[in-house]
Amino acid sequence: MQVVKSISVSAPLARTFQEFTQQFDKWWPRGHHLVGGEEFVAMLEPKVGGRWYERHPDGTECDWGKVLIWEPPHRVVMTWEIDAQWQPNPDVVSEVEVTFAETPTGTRVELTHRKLEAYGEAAEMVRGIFESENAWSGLLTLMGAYAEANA
Amino acid sequence: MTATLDDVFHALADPTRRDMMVRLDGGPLPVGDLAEQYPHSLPAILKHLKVLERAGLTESMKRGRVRVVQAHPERLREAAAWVARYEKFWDTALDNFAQFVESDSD
Repeated sequence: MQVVKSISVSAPLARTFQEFTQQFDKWWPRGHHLVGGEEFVAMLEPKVGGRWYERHPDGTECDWGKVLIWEPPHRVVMTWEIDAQWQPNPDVVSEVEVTFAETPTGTRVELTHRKLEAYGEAAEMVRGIFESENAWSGLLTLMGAYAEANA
Repeated sequence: MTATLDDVFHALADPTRRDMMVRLDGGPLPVGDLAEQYPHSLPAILKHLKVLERAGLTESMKRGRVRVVQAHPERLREAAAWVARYEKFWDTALDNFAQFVESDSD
């Protein structure tokens, strides 16, 4: 089970990689961090085994996961140890892989969040929070694409 | 429900099983009627139905002398909502990133 997303940016490869991996807090969606308060710095230690974490002004740190593969400026793979309640949880481990490829106009970034089935047990808790109003057949099309990608 | 989302995704990874779910969207069907729609053997069809049932996506019951299959869409919605959550999150993240990296030219 995985989610794949990609985007093309008009910025050179090396800078795109650098800013993606070293300036998370500049672009990370607000409201999606682990400890309260909007002010935080997201850090990724640039090496295999490095920590991926957020740090708040009061010194609180919270781990998101760790670096599994570090191949600048083309690829980085990290674990994602955050559970269905958006809380750090080393028992729920999925993986985020991000690849960077040079294009004529800049850089293509592809992000794969895989092993989401790790969340299966938590699904009941998510149910009800996210109600979908899509038609059944539409859902099936959607699900099929994801499921096949991970068959 | 003991089936996990993993079971749901596994069940839906097969095109025949997805097609069965679409056909059952119209309402419960006798197993025989459903099986007729496919070139597969009856045992193969029953095997597919078993996978769907284990995932909580269908339920079969006796109606007189006929076994009828009924779909349960709730599991599907649950799984889709789960995926949609991450879809939306990463969409926002990558859009933010593109804006940031493109506005930050030297």
